[in-house]
Amino acid sequence: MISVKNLQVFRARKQILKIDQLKVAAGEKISLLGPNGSGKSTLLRSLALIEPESLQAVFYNSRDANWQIGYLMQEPYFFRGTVEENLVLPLKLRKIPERIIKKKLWEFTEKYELESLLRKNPKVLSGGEKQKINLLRTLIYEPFYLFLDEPFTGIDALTKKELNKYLQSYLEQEPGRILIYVSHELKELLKWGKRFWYLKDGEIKFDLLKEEFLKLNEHVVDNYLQLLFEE
Amino acid sequence: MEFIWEGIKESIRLILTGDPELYQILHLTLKVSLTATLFAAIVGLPIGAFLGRKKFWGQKVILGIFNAFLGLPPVVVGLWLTMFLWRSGPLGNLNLLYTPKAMILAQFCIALPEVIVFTAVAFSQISENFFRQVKALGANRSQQLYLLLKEVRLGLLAAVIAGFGAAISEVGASLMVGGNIYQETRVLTTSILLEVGRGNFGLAIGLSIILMLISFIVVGILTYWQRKGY
Repeated sequence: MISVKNLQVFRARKQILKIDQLKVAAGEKISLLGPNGSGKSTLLRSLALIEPESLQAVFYNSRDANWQIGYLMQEPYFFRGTVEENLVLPLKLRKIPERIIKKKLWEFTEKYELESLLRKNPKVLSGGEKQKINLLRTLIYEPFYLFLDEPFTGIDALTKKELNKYLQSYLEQEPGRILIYVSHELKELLKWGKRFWYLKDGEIKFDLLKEEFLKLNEHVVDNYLQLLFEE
Repeated sequence: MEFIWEGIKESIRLILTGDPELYQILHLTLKVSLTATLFAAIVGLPIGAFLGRKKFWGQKVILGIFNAFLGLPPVVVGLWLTMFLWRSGPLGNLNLLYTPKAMILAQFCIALPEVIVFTAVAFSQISENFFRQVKALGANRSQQLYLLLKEVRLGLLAAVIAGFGAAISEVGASLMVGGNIYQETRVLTTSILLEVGRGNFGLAIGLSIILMLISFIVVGILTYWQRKGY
């Protein structure tokens, strides 16, 4: 479980995030939406304990939560080295024995058809391949908490379908896993979320279940939401 | 044109015959420049890293000063160091003037801004996304530092090589604080200057080819590492 209490993030003397209280229970799947600059990425990073302000405001009920967090950035960063080195890095950081790392890598290579990519420099990969490796680099250490920041933006439909499949099966493996998914596409938001957070000007304007969220369509007043539903 | 050919032949002869004077000069050249580079790296890498990463008031001014020092004429460094190390100067009691130690000090002063500026550039090019990614993958503080150093290692290597290049190629400062004393403070650059003055173009060209060879070998090693490490 995750609980947030009085989370405030300031940048350049301006408050960009203000969350009084928030709770996420095991198994929850949340879609996070909001206009650009509303603080979605900052909230996601805070939940992932990346923003320094989160350390006094975001709490997990497990001790080794830090190892259990999977956060996918909009623009993935790849370290110097090969795809393989990038892929197994989180396992090495967790000091997993080499024997198990090799086994895991072999499993992943077979399951996700990575043979042709492993020796490549990640910088030469296509956009879709980058996102695939980015997602797999997170799934490889089996995080309990998944925070995905527009993970499949700008990739072709075929790759998106493939990656959606991987994510779907990962979540089904262990229903207790928590997902918070950021997107600007209604289709994606509805696919993943059972609960919806709408963030605007750094504050959560609503926190609704799927049925309630869909009802908003009938009497929506906000421009962003209006356009979202029109799509 | 004859003397150019003579120079090339002379350099081959000097290397192949194991000319003791040449090897003594070569040994001192490498000793002075590598020691100066080592100290410049020890001092310059942390300063460069700090200036490249930390944002603080006056950071740009300090970096600007070091940038300006990149164009510092070695002869000016030599002049100031000579004044400081002069018998009646502030550091005169150390008796360093006209010793290899004074030359190391001079080359250290020349290499230091190179190391600092190149290191600062290498660190400043690391994006915020890098730090987010390492934290996202669960790296603890020492692992974050390790990954950061791994990421900038080629930039740091370039910084050290730039420092070495500046140190080994300068002549003005070494000549002033070293005095170009036979078998004591004579290095490749000061020898070339001396031989040209004597009209021994053959030997001067020979020495210059050897100096270039050292530079090429070092740059070659750097290029090899860069290609290997992507």
